[in-house]
Amino acid sequence: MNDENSNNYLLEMKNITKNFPGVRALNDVSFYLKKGEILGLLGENGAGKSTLIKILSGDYSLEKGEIYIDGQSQVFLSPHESISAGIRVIYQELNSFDSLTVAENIFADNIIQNKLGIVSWKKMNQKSKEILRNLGSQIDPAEYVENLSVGGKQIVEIAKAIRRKAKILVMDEPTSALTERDVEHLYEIIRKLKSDGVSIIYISHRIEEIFEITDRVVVLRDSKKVGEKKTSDTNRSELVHMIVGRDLSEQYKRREIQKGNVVFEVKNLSYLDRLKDISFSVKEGEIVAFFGLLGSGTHTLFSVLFGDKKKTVGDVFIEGKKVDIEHPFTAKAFRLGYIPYDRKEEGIALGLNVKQNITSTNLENIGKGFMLDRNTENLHANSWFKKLNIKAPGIDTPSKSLSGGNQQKVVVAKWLEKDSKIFLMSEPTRGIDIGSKAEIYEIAEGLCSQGAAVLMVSGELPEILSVSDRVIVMKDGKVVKEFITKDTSQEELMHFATA
Amino acid sequence: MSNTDLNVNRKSGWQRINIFKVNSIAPSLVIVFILMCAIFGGINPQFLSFVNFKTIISGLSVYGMMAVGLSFVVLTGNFDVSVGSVVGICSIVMAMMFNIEGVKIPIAVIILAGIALGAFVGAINGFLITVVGINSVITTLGTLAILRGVALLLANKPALINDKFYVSLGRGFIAKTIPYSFVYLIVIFVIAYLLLRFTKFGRNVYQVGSNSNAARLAGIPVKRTQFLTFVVAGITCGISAFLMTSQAAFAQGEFGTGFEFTILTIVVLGGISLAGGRGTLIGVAAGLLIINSIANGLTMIDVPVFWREAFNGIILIAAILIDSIRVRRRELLKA
Repeated sequence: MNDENSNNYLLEMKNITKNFPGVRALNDVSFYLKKGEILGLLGENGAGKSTLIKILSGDYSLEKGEIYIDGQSQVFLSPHESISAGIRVIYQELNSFDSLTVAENIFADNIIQNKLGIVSWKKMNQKSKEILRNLGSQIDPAEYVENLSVGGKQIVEIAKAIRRKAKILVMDEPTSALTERDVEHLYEIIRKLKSDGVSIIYISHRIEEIFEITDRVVVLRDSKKVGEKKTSDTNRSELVHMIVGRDLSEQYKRREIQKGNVVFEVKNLSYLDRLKDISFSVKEGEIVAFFGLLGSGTHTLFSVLFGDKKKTVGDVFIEGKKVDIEHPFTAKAFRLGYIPYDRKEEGIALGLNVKQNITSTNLENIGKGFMLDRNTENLHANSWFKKLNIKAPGIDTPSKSLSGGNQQKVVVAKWLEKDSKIFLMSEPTRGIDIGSKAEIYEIAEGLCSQGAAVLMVSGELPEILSVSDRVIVMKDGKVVKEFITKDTSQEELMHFATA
Repeated sequence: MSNTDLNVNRKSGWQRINIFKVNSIAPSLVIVFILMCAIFGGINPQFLSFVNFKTIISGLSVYGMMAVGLSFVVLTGNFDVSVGSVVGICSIVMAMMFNIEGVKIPIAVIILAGIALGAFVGAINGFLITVVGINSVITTLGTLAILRGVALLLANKPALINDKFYVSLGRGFIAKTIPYSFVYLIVIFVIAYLLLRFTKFGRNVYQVGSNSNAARLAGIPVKRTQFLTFVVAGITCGISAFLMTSQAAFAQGEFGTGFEFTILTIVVLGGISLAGGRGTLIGVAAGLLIINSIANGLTMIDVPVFWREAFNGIILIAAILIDSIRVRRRELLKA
């Protein structure tokens, strides 16, 4: 087959091995990428995807192995050299300059000047506009990036790469923070890039996306390449099997759980102009999902409910009693638990160990007075560590060395430790692998069967449909409509979220 | 070893000693200390004499106590540059209390008043930073100037302290070998160590410094914790002021000028990360010993004073460089 002719390869990485102290992050991984090809890179968290990409981007040094671009052997000593060779990585956490304009971001490393060395704004804006329109985007080049949605920021990053004439674009979980509409837009852009001859390495946890967009897939597991297929020659269950190395029932199936009394009720809640007149109630044993596009206010709602932002008007009732939650401290006392959207920034202290994170919500009950009782602390932390099956050497393990899924379990454990009854979960499975996702769902279910209530913001419709009892669709800070999950569909929910 | 039990990978011996790793700062510093002793001692054997050892030990306390206080502040991710001025104002006020005509204030009252003044100034810093919300460097830079101004205003000439007992508290020795001041220092270190390791306040300090957002959302009183660290810093300044005035038997408005520089060097060299949430008092103790011995050693080997000044700057930058390398390594591990 002509494919085997390595002259066609734009990029070839051969026998890449990388060790970190105590860990082999990559073990003899090889793959290639052709011009205009979209390659899906799959694998659970910790499988080695990020390490591979960081070697390609020059963030990590190449220990063993070879990299060829257009048949030329390359050694990237720095990100700068990698970019010069035409490689551009767009990370999950976007690296844009928020306080600068779109045009300044696009031309960040090469500001256009006139002969006197003065910045030529007109030219820069005009060129940026050309690039953006070419990508089918209507973003104004003079807009400040901080005013853009995540999707918008991503497009700016892509525009920046195009401006640098990137030949290879690496996208790390590009859709993790995007709404479905933005995802569609992104797909259009990716297809456009492909037709222009740009090659793309597309990393995602969402297998649907792999089938939607890629030509070929490479699967990593436990630092090794375990599979390589043409996308058209494979199917979902085969990929899942390769990723996890075991059969996993495709969609999470939930148990029926007896519902109890209403435990949490919100009446006519508003917050500045971002939330308007929101009312809903949640029963014991219920999982209620909140779905909305970016800017719909779902995340804001949760931080207001948890007292991190002060509501402007409205009433909140817990077990029938009116409560005033003005601070997370109060929320905690009312047995509310919060799993924030941004795990690393708000959920977990990466510098502290597992134990210290787990007990952080409940120090008042660990030891008398102002003293900390270390034995009690170990006992408590160990119990959750085992119950939630957190995969780490022990409770003294630094949180930063845990995988995303296990970090998330630690965040959940924090609130179990506090004996919370009402859980606010913002995208609890964002960026975590399939196995951990299922475990998080099981934990949520287990909580419900013991009379807890779970409120969950999710942007993944399949997740909402398989996990929740009811769905509340929000748009522009308002509740649009409420659904019984089993009576609705992805299409219907999307319709109301965008209508 | 580590205050926060971060050292899970219990490697043995040499493997653990790497100055760029937070867990092994103290052992690294011990090696630095031994090397330093060898160099100074090689040039001037007097450096290793018992008399000189006593000199070094006697000189540790004022800086040491302040370094303990500042460590709390830095651990929560803040900064306090006003410490030198706080010592200045506390010193002058305490000395003045000895010189009120016709009134003899008990020594215990004077000492407690000095410490209370330090705590009060710390509370003002803490209020401006946590409640009003001004950046800690800027706030304390402001109080640094204000307090120095007030101290100079209060003391247009040195205020003498004619109280033998008070002076003996700072200058005395146990069995002619161990200075009282060193005992105070040990007591302060032990109390602070226990505070950080075995109390909820201590844990909160690390929680807030490590991730203040996560701490807030875990219902931890972030602002109260930060406020209290400034009060702790103020208290240690008050105690240092007591020690300085009793050792000097007078006070003047310039007392404590420029101390913030040395104290910061000790704290950072000791491994308290400027990013917050990392480091232990054991490291700070090692940092203190090294900084003091260097100052002493450079004098012993007749290095001119301007070179000594410059050398202090080099150590500060080196210490901060090590800290930033550590932070960078951490960031890499995040990935």
